[in-house]
Amino acid sequence: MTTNASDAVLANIPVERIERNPENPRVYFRPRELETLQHSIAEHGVQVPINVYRKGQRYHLIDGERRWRCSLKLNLKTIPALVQDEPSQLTNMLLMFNIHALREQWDLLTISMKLPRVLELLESEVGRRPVEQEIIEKTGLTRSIIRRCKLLIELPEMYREQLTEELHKPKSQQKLTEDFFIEMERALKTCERSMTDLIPNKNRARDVLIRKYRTGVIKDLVDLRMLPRIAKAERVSANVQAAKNALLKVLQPNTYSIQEAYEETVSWAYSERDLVQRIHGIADRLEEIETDELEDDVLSALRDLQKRIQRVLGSGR
Amino acid sequence: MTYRILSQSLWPLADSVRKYLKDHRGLGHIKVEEEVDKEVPRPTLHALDKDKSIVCVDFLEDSCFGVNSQTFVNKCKARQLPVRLYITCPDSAQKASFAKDLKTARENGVGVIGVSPAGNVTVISEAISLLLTDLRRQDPKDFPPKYRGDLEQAHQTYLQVNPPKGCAAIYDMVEALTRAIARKLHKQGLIAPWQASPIDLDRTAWFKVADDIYRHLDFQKARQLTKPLWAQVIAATKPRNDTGHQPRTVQERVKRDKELRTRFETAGDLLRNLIDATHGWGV
Repeated sequence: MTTNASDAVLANIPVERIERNPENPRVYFRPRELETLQHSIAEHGVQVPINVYRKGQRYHLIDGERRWRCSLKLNLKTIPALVQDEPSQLTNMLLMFNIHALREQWDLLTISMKLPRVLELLESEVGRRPVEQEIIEKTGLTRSIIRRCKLLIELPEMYREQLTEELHKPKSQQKLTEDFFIEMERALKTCERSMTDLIPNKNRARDVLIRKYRTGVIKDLVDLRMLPRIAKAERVSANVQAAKNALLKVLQPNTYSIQEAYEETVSWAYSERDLVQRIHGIADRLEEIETDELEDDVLSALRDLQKRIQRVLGSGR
Repeated sequence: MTYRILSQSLWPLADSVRKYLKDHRGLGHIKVEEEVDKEVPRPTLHALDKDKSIVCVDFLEDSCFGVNSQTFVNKCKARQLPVRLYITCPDSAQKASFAKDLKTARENGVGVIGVSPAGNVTVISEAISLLLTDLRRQDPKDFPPKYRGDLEQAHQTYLQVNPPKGCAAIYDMVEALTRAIARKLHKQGLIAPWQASPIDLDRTAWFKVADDIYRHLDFQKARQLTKPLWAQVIAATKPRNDTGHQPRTVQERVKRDKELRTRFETAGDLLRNLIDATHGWGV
C-alpha cells in the first residue's frame, strides 16, 4: 500500500462535508446496530476517530460509516477524523479490508462482493493473477475467510440476492445465513465429485435444500455435513446404490431429512469405522507401554476391557 | 428514493410513509433527513402541517419506541418545538414487547405507524404536539366516583385523540358544576332574586352565570366557596372559548400548546377545588 496511516492528521471535520466511500463493500447496516451506536454517541460522543481522505473540499470515508451516519442523525456538527491523502483505488480498498480485518470483520457476503475487484486490481498491479498467500498478505484476510468467500462468489446471482435479502433482516429473523450457503455449496460440491449423475440440476438441488432448511426438515446446518459422508459411502464399504438412492430422495421436494438418509445408509458403517480406528489407537498405545509402568487404575480398566472383549468375541464371532 | 442515514432495509417503509403523508395527510415539502433544529437529532422525514405543528417520522426495525426516540422527545421539549413525532415499524417485525412500547409511546405523546409487507400504511396511534405532553395528572382518588370516568375520558382524549377537545371536555365538567352550584345557591336563597338579574341558569352564557353569582352572592354565607375561588371560575370562562382556535404561525402554535397544557391542568385543579368547596351540598 502506498498510503501510510502515520501520515494521517487528526482533526475535527464537518460531518456534512463527508461522503461515503463508493468502494465501501459494506452495504448492510442493521438498524438495531445503528440505534445502539447512536445512543452511545449521544451519551459519550465519538470515541474512535473515523478514517477519511480529502478530495477537494469534501472528505471520503475509508472507515467509520456507521459512526458518521449516527453523527449525522444526531445532528453533530463535527466528528474526529484521521485525515489522509487520497489513496489509489487499490490502496483505498485494501485499507478498508485491512482495517476491518483488524477490528470488526464485515459480513462474508460484503467481502465476497468486493474481493473480485481487489483481485482484478492486484492482478493489474503485479501483472499476473495473485496467489492465495499474496491475497492474504495484502487484504489481511485469513485463508479460511478467502476460501469461504470464494464459495459465495461462485453462487448464482439469484441465491446471492436471497442472501442479501436475509442480511437486511434483523439478526434474530435471519434464517438463511452465509454459513448455510457455504455449508450447502461445500456439501453439493463433494456430492457431485463423489457420485456422478447425482445432481443433474444444481439449482434445483439448492432450491430443495433451502426449502427444507426454511421449513425445518433440515434442522441444523451441521446436517448438511452428512451429505458428503453419505456420498462417500464407498469409503466405509456401505451400499453405494442405497446411499445414492437416499441422496436422490433427499434432493427431492419431500419431508425426507438428511438425518434419516444418514441413519438408513451409512450411519452404522461410520460407527464401525470409528470403532476400528479407536481399537487400533488403543492397540498402538499398548504396544508402546511397558507392563511394569502401569498404574493400578490403568490395569483395572484394561482388565475390564479384556472381559468385555471376551464377552463380544465369545458370542459367536 | 435513497437515504444517507436510514438503514437500507427501512427504505421501502420510508417511501410508503412519505407517500401516505402526501396523499392522505396533505403534507407537501416533506424533508428527508434534514435538520429541524440545531440541537435536535434529524428525523428521517419532517414537514410543516397546516396546524403549524412539525410532523416528524422516524423508523425503527422492530419496535415503536426506543431509547433514541426518548432522546428526540426530550430535546424537542427542551427546545420548545411543536413537534408531532411518529415512529414507524414494519407490521411483520413487531417484537413481543410491542404492546409495552406502544404504551410508552402514547404516554410520551408519540404516534405509531405500522407498514404491512405490501406497503400499506396504518396509523396505530396518533401523535400530539410534544409541548402538550408531560401533563400533571389529577389523582382520581381526589374526586368523587361520579367524576372519575369523565375525567379519565378527558385525559385520554387530550393525550391520544385531540388535546383541544380533551381540554374542552374538562372545561365542560367545570361549567356543569358551576351551573349546578348556581342553581343550588338560588334554591337556597343565598342570592336574593331582587339582587340578581333574571337569567336562565341552564342556557345563559357560562360567563354571565358565573359573573352573576360573583356579583350577588354573599360569600360569607357560602362557607368554603370563597370569592377568590369563584374568581377563578370567571377567569376560566375566557380560555375555555379559545381552545378551538387554529394557530396561524409556528410561534402561535408554540404559545397555544403551552397554554393548552396549563389550561388542562388548571381546569382540573379548579374542578377539584370546587368539588371540595361544595362538599355536602348535593351538587
